[in-house]
Amino acid sequence: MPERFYSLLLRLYPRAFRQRYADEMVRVFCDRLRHESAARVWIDVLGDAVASIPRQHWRREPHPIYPSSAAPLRAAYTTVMQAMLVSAILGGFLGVGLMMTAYLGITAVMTRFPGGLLAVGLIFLVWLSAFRKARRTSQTLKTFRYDAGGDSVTVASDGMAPLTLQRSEVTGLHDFEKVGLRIQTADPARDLWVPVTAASYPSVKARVSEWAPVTVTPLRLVPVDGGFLQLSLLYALGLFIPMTFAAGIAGALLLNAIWAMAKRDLPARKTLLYLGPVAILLVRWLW
Amino acid sequence: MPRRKLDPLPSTAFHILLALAGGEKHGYGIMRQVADDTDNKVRLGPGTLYGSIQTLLDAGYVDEIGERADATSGDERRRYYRLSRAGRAAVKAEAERLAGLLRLAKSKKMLKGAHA
Repeated sequence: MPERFYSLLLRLYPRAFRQRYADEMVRVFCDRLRHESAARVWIDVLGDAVASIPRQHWRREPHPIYPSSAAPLRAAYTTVMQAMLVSAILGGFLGVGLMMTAYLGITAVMTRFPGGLLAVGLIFLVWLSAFRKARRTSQTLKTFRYDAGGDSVTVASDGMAPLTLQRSEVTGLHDFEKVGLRIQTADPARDLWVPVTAASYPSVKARVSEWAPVTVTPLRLVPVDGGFLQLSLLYALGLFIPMTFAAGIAGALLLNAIWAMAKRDLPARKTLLYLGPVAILLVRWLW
Repeated sequence: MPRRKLDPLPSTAFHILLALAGGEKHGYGIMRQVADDTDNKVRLGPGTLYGSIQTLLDAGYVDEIGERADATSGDERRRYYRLSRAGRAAVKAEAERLAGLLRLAKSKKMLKGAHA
C-alpha cells in the first residue's frame, strides 16, 4: 500500500522523468521501508519531493525531442498532431486568446487592478517560453544525422547513442507533408521521425518507402519546414495558444476571486465557483 | 545538460560520484553509500538522487550499465551506474578545488581542532 501512495506522489514529476525513473524510485522507496521506520522514510521522501519536483519541472531538458530513453522525436510528433487539431479551430482560439489578453490589459489599467496586469504578464511569459522551446527544437533538429542503407535506418546525434531500426521492425510510414516522415513500429516509443529539414530526408524516404505502405497527411494550414519562425508558430499554435487561453481564464477567475475576497465582497459559494475551474485545470495539468 | 552547470560540481553530484568511485552501484546502493560516507549527515531522497543521476548521465560523468539482479534483494532487477573516465576527472578536479579552499582557510587561521 505505501508504494501505491508513493507512486501517486511520483505523478507530480514531469512525465519524461517519471517514465525513466519512477520504477527505480519506487524500488528505492521500498528498500528504505525495509530498513528504516516508515515515518522517517515518509518525512524524507515528502521533503525530497517538495524540493525536487519543482526542480525537475524547471529543468531544461538537454534534448527535448530525442530523450535518452530512445523515444525519438515523439514530442515533435505530438506537437504536429496538436497543431493539426488546433489548425481546425485556430480562428476561435487565436481570436479569443488575443481578445482576452487585450481585455485583461485594458481593464487592469482602467480599474487599476494590479492582478490583471500580472495575468497579462503571465500570458506573455508563456509565449516567451514557447519561443525559447521552439528555438531549442530548431537547433536540435539540425544536429540529427540520418542514414538509410541496406535493411536498416539509423539516426544519430552528438552525445547520444545512435538508434537503429531494422526493416523487419517497420510496420508503416506516415508522411506529414512539409513536416517530416514518421517511421512506425509496433512499439510507439521506437518510432522514428525524419524531419524534412534533414539533408538525407529524400534518400531515407525513398529507401523506407520500399519497406511499408505510406499514409500521407496533408498539412496545408500549418506549413512547417523546421526553421525557427515556423517552429515557433507550430509550438504556439499546437500547444501554447490553448494553454495560454486556459491559463488566462483560470488566472483571471482566480485573481478576481482573490480581489473580491480581499474586499470582503464575495460569498463563500461563489468563491468555490471561481476556484473550481482553477482546480480542474491544475489537476488536468498534473495528470 | 551543459557541463558548465556542473562546474563547480554541486555537492550532491560530488557525493554520488564519490560513492561510485568504489565501484558500480544501483540507486539504493548509491544512497546507502552516501549516507555511510557522511555518517548519515547527507541523506539523498529519491527525487534528488535520480535528478542528479540524470544530470551526471547527460554530462557523461556517469555511465548506465544496464539492469541486473541484485544479490542482496533476490530476483529484483536494478539499473546499475558506474563512474566514467570524465566523471573520475571531474571528481579529482573538484577535490583539488576543495583542497585549495581548505588550504586558504587554514592560511587565514579559520580552522580549529583536527582540521588545522
